[in-house]
Amino acid sequence: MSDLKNTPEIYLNNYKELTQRWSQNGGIWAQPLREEAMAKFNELGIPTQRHEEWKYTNLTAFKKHQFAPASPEAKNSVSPSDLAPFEFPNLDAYKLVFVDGFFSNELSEYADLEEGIELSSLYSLMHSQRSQEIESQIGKRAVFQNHPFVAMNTAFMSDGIYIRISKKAQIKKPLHLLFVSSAQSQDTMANSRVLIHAEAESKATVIEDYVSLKSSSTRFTNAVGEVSLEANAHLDHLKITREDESSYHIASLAISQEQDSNFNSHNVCLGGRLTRNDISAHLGGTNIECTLNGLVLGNGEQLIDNHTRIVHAEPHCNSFETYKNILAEKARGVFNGKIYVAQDAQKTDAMQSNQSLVLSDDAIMNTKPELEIYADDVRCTHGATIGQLDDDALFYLRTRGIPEDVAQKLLTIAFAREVIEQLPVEEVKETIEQFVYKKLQQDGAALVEVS
Amino acid sequence: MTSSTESIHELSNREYKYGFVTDIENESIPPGLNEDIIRKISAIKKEPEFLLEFRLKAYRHWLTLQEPRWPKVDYPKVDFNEIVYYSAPKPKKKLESLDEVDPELRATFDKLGISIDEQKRISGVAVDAVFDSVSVATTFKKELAEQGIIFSSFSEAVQDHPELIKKYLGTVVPYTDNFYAALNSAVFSDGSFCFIPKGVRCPMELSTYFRINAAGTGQFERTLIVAEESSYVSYLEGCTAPQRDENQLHAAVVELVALDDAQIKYSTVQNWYPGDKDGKGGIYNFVTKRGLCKGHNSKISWTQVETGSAVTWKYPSCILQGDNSIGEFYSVAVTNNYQQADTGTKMVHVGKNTKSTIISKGISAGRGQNSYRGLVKVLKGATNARNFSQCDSMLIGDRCGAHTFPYIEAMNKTAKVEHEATTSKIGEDQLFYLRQRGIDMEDAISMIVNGFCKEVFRELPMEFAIEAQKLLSVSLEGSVG
Repeated sequence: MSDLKNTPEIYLNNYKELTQRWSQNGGIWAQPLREEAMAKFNELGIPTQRHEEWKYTNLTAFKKHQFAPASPEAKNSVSPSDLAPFEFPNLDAYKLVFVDGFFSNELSEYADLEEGIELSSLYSLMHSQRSQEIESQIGKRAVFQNHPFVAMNTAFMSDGIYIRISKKAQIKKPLHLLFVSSAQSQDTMANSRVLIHAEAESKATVIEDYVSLKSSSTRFTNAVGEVSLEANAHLDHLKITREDESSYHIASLAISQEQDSNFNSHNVCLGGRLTRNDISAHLGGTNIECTLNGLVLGNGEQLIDNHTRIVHAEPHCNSFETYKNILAEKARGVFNGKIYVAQDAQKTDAMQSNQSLVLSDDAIMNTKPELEIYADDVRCTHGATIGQLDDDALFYLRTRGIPEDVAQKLLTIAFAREVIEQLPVEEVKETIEQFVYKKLQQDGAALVEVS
Repeated sequence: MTSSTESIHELSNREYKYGFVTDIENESIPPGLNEDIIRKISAIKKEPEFLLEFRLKAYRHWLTLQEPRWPKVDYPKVDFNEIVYYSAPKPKKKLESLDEVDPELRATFDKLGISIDEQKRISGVAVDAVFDSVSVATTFKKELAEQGIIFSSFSEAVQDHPELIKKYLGTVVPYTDNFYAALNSAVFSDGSFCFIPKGVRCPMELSTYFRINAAGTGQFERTLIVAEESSYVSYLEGCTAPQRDENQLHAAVVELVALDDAQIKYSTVQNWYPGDKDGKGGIYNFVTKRGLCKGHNSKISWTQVETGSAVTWKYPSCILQGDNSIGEFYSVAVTNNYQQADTGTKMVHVGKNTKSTIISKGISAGRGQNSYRGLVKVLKGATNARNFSQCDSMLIGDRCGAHTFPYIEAMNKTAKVEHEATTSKIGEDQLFYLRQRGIDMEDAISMIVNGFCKEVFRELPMEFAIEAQKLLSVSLEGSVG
């Protein structure tokens, strides 16, 4: 390991230390994978803006931090009352809590699990007799060869969850995965991984929710998700990031779909100083539907960067994508959406739309919607707009006696609602809308109660 | 489907219509690139000191650069030391009238369908014909001179108006801009220069014809157009090149400067040799074109029809510096067989109330790869900037590709930017309708494609629009996937 010169010392030292622990209790099988990933991370390094994929995302401030890997003991410092503010009122779900990436059985509530769900913490699974089950899953979809942070996660992955939905199981209650960054005295990072395997004809809803407890230190979440859907499976995936304004959140979600499956991703980005999502879906069968939606609400000095990629590898698949950005104050938004249609993927119907509201002169939006198409009998469209609230609509509301700032917020909410309304869980929908209200309130004048 | 495949075959088997070599004695210097070669080019052209300086600075900068690899095109590496950087038909004497032009050269132009006499007599177009790298005939010069318009070859302008060249050369495309711009700045051989004085509306369409002739000669054209306050000019550029097996490099630089209230309309029809049906040969077209809307209310409009070249890499751009200035880009790009095109535009909004429009139509057939790559950038000071972009791609055949890579960057809250792109196959029901009316496959496709490109064609001057439609039919008709 002595030749990993490019890797900051802190990561290298911690890596060496941790490998000792990981290789015990049957975890040795992952060692070659970790070594390879670490070498890749060293080779790729932390990207600069000269790297096309990171053109608009500046990691200079990020690099200055010395993030130490989180410790599994941190979960003992969190009590259920700490988590109360993050509840979704009235939501009836299986709650699985992770503190700094480590699964906490004590804080989780998942009694009376419906038939057809299998849950196991990644740590326990990796260090058990059943490790082969996930050996074939880890790193197959989220490949680290060209992504430094996936490489980092693969090298450092400590815990997470493996979810398997059995064949034909129709899971009624959503799974709520709550990832909490705990209060720490030093800058820490959490490398968590979520593996979801939906077997044929199953149906489930998973909510990935990232929050942080008050702390003076900076937290970095490096999350990787790998999702596979077998034939005819249906999965709704909702991701909410609402960490505090000093947190870094870099995540990759890789999805592979088989024929007739249906995957819906709803990506709601609210918090964090810097958020970066790489979502890529591989449509590897016929008659697949894939929806990637996103809502970004940035203010202060937030930077929110969403990269999506949909690969149509087989004929007769549909994909839909709607990303909406609302940027106030000095926020920066980045969207890069790619639709790739392979030569054999005839009769593809792909639709992508990216709309951005820039509400301040200091806010910046960078958009790059890409199409790469090698089949001829397809219909692919993308549209991107950057603009402001409609003057006519504003005027109309003002003629009805609504003050300008309220009218503006009403219209902004209406703009966001197109994405919110499609969220799969009713109770979450309401909370998110409240969250959007609150966030807009911070930006300038108070919002009067709007029913 | 079968009939379409046949049509594609028929189409790909079509010989390149303009592939012939004119046998004229060339005055060439040995292949290779070094400071001596540059000094030699400069000396042959009797250039003033500042220009030699410019070339040398550009050359030294070029040495530090890497050949760009980011465009979505694929081609073997160019050996810059095997290129002949200067080649000119042997000049006998200065020509006063067309009768003195080498008859063989005249015949070449006739074959190209741009007989100078014809142009002169019928359409009133002044043609500055560039044959290889030296301008051999310039028409209508006197008429233009009466209005104070300068329209001449670049070399002549260097001799006659060095002050203008010195003032504007490299102001829009500095030699540091990119790899090929630096190369061009170092070795450019000739090109066109056009100057429209204050308040003058150029009475005719100015036109130049580029043609690559001597084997193994890279062409490095340099065009500079300056439109002073309240002036107007429409400039046409058209290209054909003879058939060669070896790939030829073309790295031109075009600079446009529009001052207050000035308007420049720049139209291109590019039909260089695209290589044969197996992708052998063809021109590499790596061009830097940029217009600067320097003054208030100025307007620059680019229209291009790109049907030729094996590899095209070209982004005619507008820097909208003056308040209320307007930039436009209309493009039709066709790739067939193994052609590759990575083309688009950049609109940089700097001034207030600036507007830009982008209409791009890409057509891919055979194994062609067609990419639109564009940038719309609204800077913080560009309040009320407005952009509308539309990029449509049509795919004909199942072995081709169409790609879109637009970059949109908005940095203020009054900017309105819209981008729209669609990719689809040629409409089968449209084809069916036409065929049902007894129109054969080739004509039907030609009609549909022409309709698809109509928005761009109507921006072209009349004479060019007809040529463009013909070109499109030749390079495309008869394919459906």
